[in-house]
Amino acid sequence: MSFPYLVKRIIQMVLTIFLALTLSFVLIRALPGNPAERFYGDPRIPEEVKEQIKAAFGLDKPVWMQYLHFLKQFAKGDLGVSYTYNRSVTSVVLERLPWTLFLTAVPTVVSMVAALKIGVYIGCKRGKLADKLISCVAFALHSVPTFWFALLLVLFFSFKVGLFPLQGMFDPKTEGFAKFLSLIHHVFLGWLTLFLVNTPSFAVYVRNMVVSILGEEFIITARAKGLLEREIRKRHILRNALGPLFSMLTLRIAGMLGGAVLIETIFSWKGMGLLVLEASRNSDYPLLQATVMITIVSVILANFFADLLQTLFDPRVRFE
Amino acid sequence: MVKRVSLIISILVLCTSIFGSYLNVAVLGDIRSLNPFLVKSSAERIVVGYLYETLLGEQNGKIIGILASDWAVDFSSNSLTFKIADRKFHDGKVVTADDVVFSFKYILEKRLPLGPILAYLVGAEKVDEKTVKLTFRMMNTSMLSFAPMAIPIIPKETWEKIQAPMEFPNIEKPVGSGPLAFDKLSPQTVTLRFFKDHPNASAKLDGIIFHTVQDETMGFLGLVKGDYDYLYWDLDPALAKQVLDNPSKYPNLRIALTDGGSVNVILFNHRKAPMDDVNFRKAVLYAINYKEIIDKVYMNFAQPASIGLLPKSLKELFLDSVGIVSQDVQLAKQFLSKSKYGKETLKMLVSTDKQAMEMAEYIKMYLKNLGINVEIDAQGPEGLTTKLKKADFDLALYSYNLGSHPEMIFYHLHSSRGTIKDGQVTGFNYGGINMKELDSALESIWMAFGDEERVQAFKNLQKLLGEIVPVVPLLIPANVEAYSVKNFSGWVVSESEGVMNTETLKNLTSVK
Repeated sequence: MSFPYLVKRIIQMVLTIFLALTLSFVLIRALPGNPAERFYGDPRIPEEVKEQIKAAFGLDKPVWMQYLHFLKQFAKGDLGVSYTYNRSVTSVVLERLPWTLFLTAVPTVVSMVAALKIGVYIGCKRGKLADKLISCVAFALHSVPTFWFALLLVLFFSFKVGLFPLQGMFDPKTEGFAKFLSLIHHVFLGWLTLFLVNTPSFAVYVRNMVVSILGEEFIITARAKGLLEREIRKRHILRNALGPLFSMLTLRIAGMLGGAVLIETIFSWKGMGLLVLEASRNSDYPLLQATVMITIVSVILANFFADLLQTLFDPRVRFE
Repeated sequence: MVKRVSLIISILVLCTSIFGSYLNVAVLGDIRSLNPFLVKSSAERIVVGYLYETLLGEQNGKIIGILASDWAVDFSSNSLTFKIADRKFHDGKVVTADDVVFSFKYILEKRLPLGPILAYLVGAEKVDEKTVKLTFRMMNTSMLSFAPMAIPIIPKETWEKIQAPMEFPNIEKPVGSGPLAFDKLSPQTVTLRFFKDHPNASAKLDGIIFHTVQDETMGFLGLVKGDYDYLYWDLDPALAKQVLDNPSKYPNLRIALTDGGSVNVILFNHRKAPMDDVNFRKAVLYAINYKEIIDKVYMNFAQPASIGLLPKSLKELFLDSVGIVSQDVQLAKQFLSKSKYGKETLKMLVSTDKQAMEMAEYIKMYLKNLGINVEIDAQGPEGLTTKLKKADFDLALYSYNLGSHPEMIFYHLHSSRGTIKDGQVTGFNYGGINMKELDSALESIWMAFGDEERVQAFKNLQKLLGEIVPVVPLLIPANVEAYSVKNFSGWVVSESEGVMNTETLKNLTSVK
């Protein structure tokens, strides 16, 4: 990647982030509802007091003034104070982010590893029974809605068999190592759901890539050189498949930061997904703005890193 | 393999857990802050309600002292004087007049978004160590609920250091004077332990763990499984029926049915004809088959509402003689023929909530049978509020919550709350009811401080409502509470307070 190209990409990224922030600022404020409204619920409140309440939330000023104030604070790294949490948005987000990563990162990474193994295997066995059978199961699993799948697992493993807790993050009565074990116990079904939902799509993606790589000339050359099938898979197929797969992983990680809303709702897991939902339900503008911003920035950065990874894994790829 | 690993983890977790007799209660929603001045969700309201106390409260329509042992009204100075009871905060310090004065002044000084207080409270002053005087811009009974029933008393020593209360979540160590004291907060739970110096503290229980859940069904499954002992929300009538019809399937579950405090009504837009005509309103009143709606929509978990609007749960204030109305199509037709109705199609505003929609369909059918054409206008919560505020409806399905504060009826029916300014209704009288006799009956409630005077004022109002029918009372959904006897025994169902009452908390004993 050349230096001028890098500078151009960074300028593009900054502009995209700025545009996305502006757009999200306007759209969030165009949503029905008003954060101060929940304090109007009391029918005894006179009109003039309603105005005072609006002022307490800084909502008495025109939107463009609110926007300028937001940009000024954003430049200072201040994301504001959450209307619902009554504390800095940064502290709320930093508290939630690790929980989401804990819930989503483990099954995603394990899924990737499993998908790589399965995908290469069925790709090499293209058209055979194993390929047909695994592809069929993978498509079936991939078509199942995540929330429905999670509910089935909960109903069976938690409610019927009683192996896992129905929901929650850990037993509040536990401390130390017991708390850690309780955490694993609580997160396991969430992990299992994400693993079972993600692996088929990753595996089919790898399989298709392997099928296209198998037709490449360097594979024919490797076979002609008399390399063992195992070595061809390891040295040629796997290496070429890793690039696009890592790009996909990077984008997935970016998506994870936004949270797995449905899984978090079903398991009452207090991560970013539920935070976004809560913020929008409560018209908590600073919090909603921050969560949207995290998703925007992480997707843009992930795209950038995905491109970088492409150049690392495939020397044919050049960005000039 | 999965089964084994899970079993080992379960045993390890169980062995290392710190055992204690804690009641597990599920609350719907989130607990983000325990700042008593900035309560935003029902879950927060429940927990804050156990941590903090107010000067006065209301029980069965009667005003009772909580932190105040006695109180008096002085009309000449528009003031209320309170004697503070001998009580302590959770940190062991005594609740004094200084704390009470500080609590009220703090709200005024920090301009906290507590509307009625900012609007009507002039000041608070200490008379002596145990006496406080609150002064208002005007004096009526609603002042009792404005400040003494709404404002939590906070310890001065802690809160005077908090300069920006709007940015204070109060989740580190909240100190109040309520029956439960703060223990710890986790992302999904709040643990409170009983404050032994409180007169209503339980001697048998250590405390309560409040679990926040996002979904009612998951909460119900948790109750069936025994993870929770009580659900802090009204159970869906269909689920409640299922539990009651299949006791062998749910051996540990119990359903408590108590009188509700919310009255479902049909609002009329009195600003338009024929809704301004009492004959038309009476035609609607007699056209409806209340029993059928209660049976089909509420599975019998509701009771017909009195034409006097007040729920039966208000015992002393409730006037039995006004009574309920039954469907009488002939009478309805007579009233309709005398009314101004001229075959136009009327728009009925309804929430998209399942029960409201079903109820609307039944009402539409009854009115059609009578010859009144109705078109349903279903709206989500935001749309419904917007249309009500703009008075953009002919009829509307609405609910008055009168069970805890019957004086609130003033704000729903008084003409001063139904005027339109800048295209919006200024108060909660969305229908724009404007009747002199009704206004004066409502005003007399405001000035009735004595018990007898208050009872009489409410009875007069109920009689009048039966005659003028400003709204059609439909039904009062019952409070449907679900609890489990798997882990605790000794639940007491109080007719007025339901299951989670002081007696229950004092009585509960761990089965283990």
